[in-house]
Amino acid sequence: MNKFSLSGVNQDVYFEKMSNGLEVYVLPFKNKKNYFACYFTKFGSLILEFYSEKKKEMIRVPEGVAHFLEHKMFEQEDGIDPFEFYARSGTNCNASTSYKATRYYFSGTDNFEENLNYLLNYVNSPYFTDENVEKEKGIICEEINMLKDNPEWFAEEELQRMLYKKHPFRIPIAGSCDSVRTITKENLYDTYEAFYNPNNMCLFVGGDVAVEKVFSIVQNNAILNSIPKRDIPKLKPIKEQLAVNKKFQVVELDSVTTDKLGYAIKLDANVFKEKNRFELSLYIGMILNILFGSTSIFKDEMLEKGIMTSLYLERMYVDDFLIIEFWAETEHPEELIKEINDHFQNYQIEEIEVERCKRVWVASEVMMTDNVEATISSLLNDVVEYGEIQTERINFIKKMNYKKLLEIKDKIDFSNDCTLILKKKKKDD
Amino acid sequence: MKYIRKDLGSYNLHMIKTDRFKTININLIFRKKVNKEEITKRNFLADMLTYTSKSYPTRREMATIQQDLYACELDFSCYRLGNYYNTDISLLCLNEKYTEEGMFRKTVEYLADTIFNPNVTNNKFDSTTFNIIKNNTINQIESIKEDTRKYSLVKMLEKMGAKENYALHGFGYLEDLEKIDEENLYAFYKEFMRSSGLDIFVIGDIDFTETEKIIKDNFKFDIYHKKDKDFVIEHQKIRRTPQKILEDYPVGQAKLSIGCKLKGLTDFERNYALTIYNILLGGSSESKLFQNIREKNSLCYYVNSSSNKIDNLLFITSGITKSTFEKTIKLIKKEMKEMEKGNFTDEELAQAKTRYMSLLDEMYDYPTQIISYYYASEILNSDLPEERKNNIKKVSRDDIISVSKKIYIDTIYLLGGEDDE
Repeated sequence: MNKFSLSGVNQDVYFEKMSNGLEVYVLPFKNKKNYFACYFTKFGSLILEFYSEKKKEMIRVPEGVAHFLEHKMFEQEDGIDPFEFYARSGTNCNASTSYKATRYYFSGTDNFEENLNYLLNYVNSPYFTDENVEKEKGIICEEINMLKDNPEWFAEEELQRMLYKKHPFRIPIAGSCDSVRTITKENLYDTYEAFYNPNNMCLFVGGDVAVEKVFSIVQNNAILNSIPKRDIPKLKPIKEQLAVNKKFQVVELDSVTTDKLGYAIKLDANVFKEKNRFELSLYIGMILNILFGSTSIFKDEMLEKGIMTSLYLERMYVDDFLIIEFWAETEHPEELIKEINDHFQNYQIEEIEVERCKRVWVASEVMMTDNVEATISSLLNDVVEYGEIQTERINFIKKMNYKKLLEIKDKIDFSNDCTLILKKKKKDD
Repeated sequence: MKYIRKDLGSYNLHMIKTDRFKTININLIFRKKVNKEEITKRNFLADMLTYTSKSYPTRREMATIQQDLYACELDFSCYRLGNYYNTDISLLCLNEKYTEEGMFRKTVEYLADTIFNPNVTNNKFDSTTFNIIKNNTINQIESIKEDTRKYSLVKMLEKMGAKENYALHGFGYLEDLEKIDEENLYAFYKEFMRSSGLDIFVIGDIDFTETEKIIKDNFKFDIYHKKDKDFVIEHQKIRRTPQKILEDYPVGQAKLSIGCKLKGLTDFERNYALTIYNILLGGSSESKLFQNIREKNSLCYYVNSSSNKIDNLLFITSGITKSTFEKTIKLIKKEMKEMEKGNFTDEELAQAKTRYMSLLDEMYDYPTQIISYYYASEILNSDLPEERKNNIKKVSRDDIISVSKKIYIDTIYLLGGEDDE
């Protein structure tokens, strides 16, 4: 068992990699009544083609299979589903699927030992039948319909289709009603067996818990320990061009009431001298924050001129690409894009701004540790994005350097961009 | 956790000491009787006060000072509570144990300055800020229509009783927004500051004596406000047969909202049995609605019920395919009937209570929830979690059945949905 300490916040993290490959992280909190546990696989909607050991060939599964699998893990052979089990002790449970991971979690105040055992049991006990697979299709289709009606959701998905030509990021996490209807129990077992092996999974537990207790539960769980360690199948490599798939598009929708702009740039993460992806992401985040965040001159100017009414930014890695997205409510999208570009080129970031931002980030990190779930989610995200938890987050932030920040800023190039404008559909005359 | 309440004349100061948090929350809760014309203005005012101030006249300066105070977060929220409308102005900061000595006083000074020293010249709010907020408000009001789940609920309540307090929502109204200008907003500010009911909460690892002194030094209100009463909305008219309204709207999935009135509940039923009734009907994934409408019949992805004891209302919401409307309604009504007949097991009843009590326990981990409980205890005389737990334990099968007979479906509303081809 290894013990780490999260820098600057007085919080210990205990870690062990079990012999079956499962990574276990435990964060005992002082002064908390509740606990939170999350068991997850590094398998999300992006994986659609992989080598099947059974069939000895590359197989392709229908779009939305990871999300479907998440729904179906709640089906258990004894007819008692996790919702029902957890309800008995008043525990909350749920699950979620993202592009890169599928999570199963619960939070509560009582009955911890049984609850954790149950989590390890049900996620390791698939029970798919033709009938229960069929039944789920209507539910998932309504879920897809619900999301489709939201213009912001639509815009986010559409922007991905503009950014990528082939990458499965183009495909919505839940798939489409059409693809979901083709999913069979064989598809579910194929993907389950390939990616729900302990060797591809992690367990995070935190809050009002005893460290030894958690490890002893994990070591003694019969179902979990009966599963042999397997290698994770080879994935079909994804070849994606650097150039965006589509530069510009205007979409008119009935459901839009305020016009929106989605503007993204697609960068090659390898052009930066900084090779540590976590650190690079911090620097890029800080640059964007200073230039376009709440204390930026830019935001004030654009609001005062009435060019936009809101703006927020996102950044993410997709393989070797670094994506920066701007989302705004605006009636002057082209003007706003020009302003964003001009501001980025011309604004000279000052050292004092960097120092202020560092102080704010450190304070926010400390504040976050008041919340068990938020603290765990942040570390869990580190594992999904960077392969390991970032215990030195606060020290990294404190050490961030002005000169390096300017060097990184110089490498950001806005030319490989794409623009999505969402407008209210005009009524036909 | 220790709690002290002090009546300081113009307002009550509530201090809650706990070592659970690294942060300190300060929350000022202003309240007045709700009135439709004032809602938009009060939202606007709270936005204005927290956006800029005389000392920090641009948004950027405001954000910068907050950063210098170790990323303190100034926020506001406006919401209706029965027949009243609340304006919360809150500030979250790190305990100075994690920053530097004297920061708490400085932060409170900043908060007080923000509230008492608005960005006003010649009896008018600053036009630049005013216009930014106005544009933003127009957008926010318009964009409710994009959140069709919420929009369906808003429209359903309007159909239920357009002029009634329970139909008033906190998003604001465009027609009222048009009437607001820099000058009348400032006049309103002055009135607001001397006539609102006010409670100030401070929660964190604090020292009572020192905190009281800092608050008293900085918050000198001169409020004349009579004791509030009649928070709870009582329904006079009950519809014999529910009205059913289907409205066209450009949205693929039809958004169903059902509104029910509650009438004749005893205090015990309203405060405790209703909560458990709701969990059993549609307040959890074990509920009758979730199990039958979603799991057995695959008609939807979400179906929930929620109860509001102050408005004496119960809602059921779902997203469905339009052609399944009648079938869904029939099934929902059937499940409500099952509740009336007492067709739920003792185990289910016990589970619902356990779930709720667990939520009460978790409350101790969230400062804003702790404040909510003490606030409800202040204005509604409701009990605090430990006592509440004991009362919840007393809820019997008969109490649930009795509640179920006092629920009257009033309006069944379906927004949009494409007809099947």
